[in-house]
Amino acid sequence: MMTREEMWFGLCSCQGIYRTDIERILKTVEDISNLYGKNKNRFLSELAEGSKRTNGQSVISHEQAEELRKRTGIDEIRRLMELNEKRGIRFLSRETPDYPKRLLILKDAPYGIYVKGAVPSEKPTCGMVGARACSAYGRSMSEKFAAVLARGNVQIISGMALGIDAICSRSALSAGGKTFVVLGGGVDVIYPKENTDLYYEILMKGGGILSEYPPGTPSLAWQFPHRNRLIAALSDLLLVMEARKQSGTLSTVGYALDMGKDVYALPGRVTDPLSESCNLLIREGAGMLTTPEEVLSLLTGNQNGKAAEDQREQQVQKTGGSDPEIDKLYEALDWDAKSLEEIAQKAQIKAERAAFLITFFVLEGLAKEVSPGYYVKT
Amino acid sequence: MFCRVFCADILGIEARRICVEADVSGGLPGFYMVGLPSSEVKEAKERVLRAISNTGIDLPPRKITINLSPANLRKSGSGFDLPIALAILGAMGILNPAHLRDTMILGELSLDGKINPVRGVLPVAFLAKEEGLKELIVPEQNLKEGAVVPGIGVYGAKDLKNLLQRIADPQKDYVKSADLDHVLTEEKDAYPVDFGEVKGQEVAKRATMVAVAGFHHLLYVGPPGSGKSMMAQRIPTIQNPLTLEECMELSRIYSVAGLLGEGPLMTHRPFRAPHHTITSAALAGGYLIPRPGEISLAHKGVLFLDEAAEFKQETLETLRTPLETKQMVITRSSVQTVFPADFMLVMAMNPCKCGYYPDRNLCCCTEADVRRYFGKIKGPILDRIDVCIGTKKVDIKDLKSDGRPMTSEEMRRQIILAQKKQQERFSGVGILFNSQMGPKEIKQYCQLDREAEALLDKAYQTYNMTARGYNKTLKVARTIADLSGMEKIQKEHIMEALTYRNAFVERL
Repeated sequence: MMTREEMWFGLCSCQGIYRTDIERILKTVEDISNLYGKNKNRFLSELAEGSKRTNGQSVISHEQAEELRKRTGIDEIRRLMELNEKRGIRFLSRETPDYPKRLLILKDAPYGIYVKGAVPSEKPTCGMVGARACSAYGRSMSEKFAAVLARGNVQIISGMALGIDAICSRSALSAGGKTFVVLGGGVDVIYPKENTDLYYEILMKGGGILSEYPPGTPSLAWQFPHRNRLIAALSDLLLVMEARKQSGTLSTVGYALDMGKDVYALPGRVTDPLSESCNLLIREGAGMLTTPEEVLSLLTGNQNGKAAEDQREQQVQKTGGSDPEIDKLYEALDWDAKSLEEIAQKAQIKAERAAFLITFFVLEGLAKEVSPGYYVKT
Repeated sequence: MFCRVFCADILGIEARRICVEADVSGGLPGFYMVGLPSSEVKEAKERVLRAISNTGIDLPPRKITINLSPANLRKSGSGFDLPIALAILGAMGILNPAHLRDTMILGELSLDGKINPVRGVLPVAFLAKEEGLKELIVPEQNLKEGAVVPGIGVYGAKDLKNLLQRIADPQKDYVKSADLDHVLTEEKDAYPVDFGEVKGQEVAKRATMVAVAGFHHLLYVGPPGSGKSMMAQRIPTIQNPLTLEECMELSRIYSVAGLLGEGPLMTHRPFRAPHHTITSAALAGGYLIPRPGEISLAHKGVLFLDEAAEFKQETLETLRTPLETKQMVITRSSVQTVFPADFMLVMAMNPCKCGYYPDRNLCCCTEADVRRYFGKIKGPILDRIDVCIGTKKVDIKDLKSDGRPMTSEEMRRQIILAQKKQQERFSGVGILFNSQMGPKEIKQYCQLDREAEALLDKAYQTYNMTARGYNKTLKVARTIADLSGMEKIQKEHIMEALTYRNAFVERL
């Protein structure tokens, strides 16, 4: 006898049958068990051909029906489940207790999701999203926010895209926290491949990879907006770190707002194209990100986040000793990438002195080289 | 009748003596040439015969045989026309062969008897001297070049008619040979550009100075309009002046390439900036009869590769061996040709495809795009780059600032001092510059105090450096210490060297 979990697995693992198709199928067959019962064949032909129940309209195509027939065979289901088990992929249907409760808030919550690794726990989560081609400012701010939140036991939810997404996940991991990513393809399809190392690091450090698409599904462009709704649903709070006008990130924001979640955006200069959407969001009522500690206390109600800035200042003083040029050079550094030339000019330090003093900051982790000769504060 | 004259052929930057023998005999009239002539030498027949007849000499219909010896070497070049003509005239009895016994002859003929310039006169002049010949006849336009070598009489021939008169003339006077002791000092400061014109790039200029002082290869990374090419162009102005020996070697290369121009010698360090569409053969040297490529034309000077990322991979790859051995060996069927190629490699590239990263107001490249762009210059070439510096776009403020930028003269003075220190240190070791130090020399000459050592250890871990990167940092730090006149490498020197490391490009 088949368990309901297996039934859901069979239905959800069909290639080319998507959530909306499943919704229509279930409307017709009323309960999933009917798809597997004595009347399986009758239901299948009804779905493909149309019947009174469907107002004479076909619900799915013949190909889809054939796929459904194949995947609903018990042997096929057990074979696939075994295969997934070997690959460390779990399937959670809405009826599974492990199914993330946060997803149920969605009207169109997936009938089942695939998970590699863990699922986010009940502890606070925070979604962090943004541009793929981010600026040095977006990068360093994302690193800072993600690190503080992760240290405060907030689970970072993101999409593992290039740029902000990956930076947030990486930073959370190196701060010793957990991060969960929702992919736009199957959980075993690493996309983008540049983040292969991140993918495995997330798994190694107790995080998780989630997707509503069956393993092996390629990452297609149209799937990403749907993926974004899961990111929004999984996040208690959504932070937008950087976004251009008409950025894809805005779709995540839209979903979060539909669900009544709070959205915070990182303000930027009005002239920076990468801050354009962020600033617009703030004008339209999104929260304004100032310090990560503030977000942390919003999420956890704890005020432990120490003023990191003070710490920095102390570190600079410790490093530099009594050298006034060190202070001047640090003041000349910015969150925005600046060339060593500009930094030296602003600090009014001779080139050859600046050329070695900057290494102080880099070695102490107070500055970072983002492109040859270009530095930012960290 | 028979006549033999001397001539020369160029192989690489060396000349080889060739004997041109002419025999005029009875039998069916005709013109035969043997001794492995290449096609341009074979064509000499028509030029020689027409030139002689247009000079007003009637050649009787006889059988003419020309032999070029040694017969087993392939002869190429157009310089054989004149010796062939003179050998024929000698064999015909029109001129006295005894007059040409101690003479080396070189020149291309026009149909009207005019003598045209040829390539490679300088090495031929040296050869003539070595062979103990007394006289050298070259085309008039090559006279200055030939007259560089002292102790041999050089005559510049304008046309065949004048030449024949002169050969018969017992009173011979020659041009004065060039004054080699002064040829270098006279023109030393004649660079038309100066580093003082580069404004608002003091950090990059400092890095350039370090690179030149230790003969480190250099990479500029920066947006368009950040003065990369401008600085590269000015590097020869801060290199130490050429020595006479270097000048001669360089002039030979230019003579062979036919690029010597007006002056008889190359008195300046060359700056070569080939376009990125250049082929491997043009860069490294080659063709059927090997000719010096850009890397040899940049000998003792700067080879500048602008838009380095746009060069074809295989083209850049050809630089690997010459960078190591300082010469280019070209092998063609039976002959090996060696061209010297001891150049400073200076490359420039944008930080990304569009050129503006990390300025996000202008650049939309993704991180992957940026990484891919840097990846175009592959490890083996990057490994040889010791100094890498980012340049910034110059803004109007810099152009108008009245601050006094460092001039070439100041930079050069410091560089010469630092190089003197290196030469003292390495005398007897067989190297000249810090960049050429191997692991053994690094161990011996790059000792650090405890503080500096701790710092480098920390950097090694923080930057995830490789052993090669570690050694490079030490070598550059050695140069920086030499620039500041210190015997021991200090902490600051290590830190500055770390700023110039190209590990960033490597890591991406």
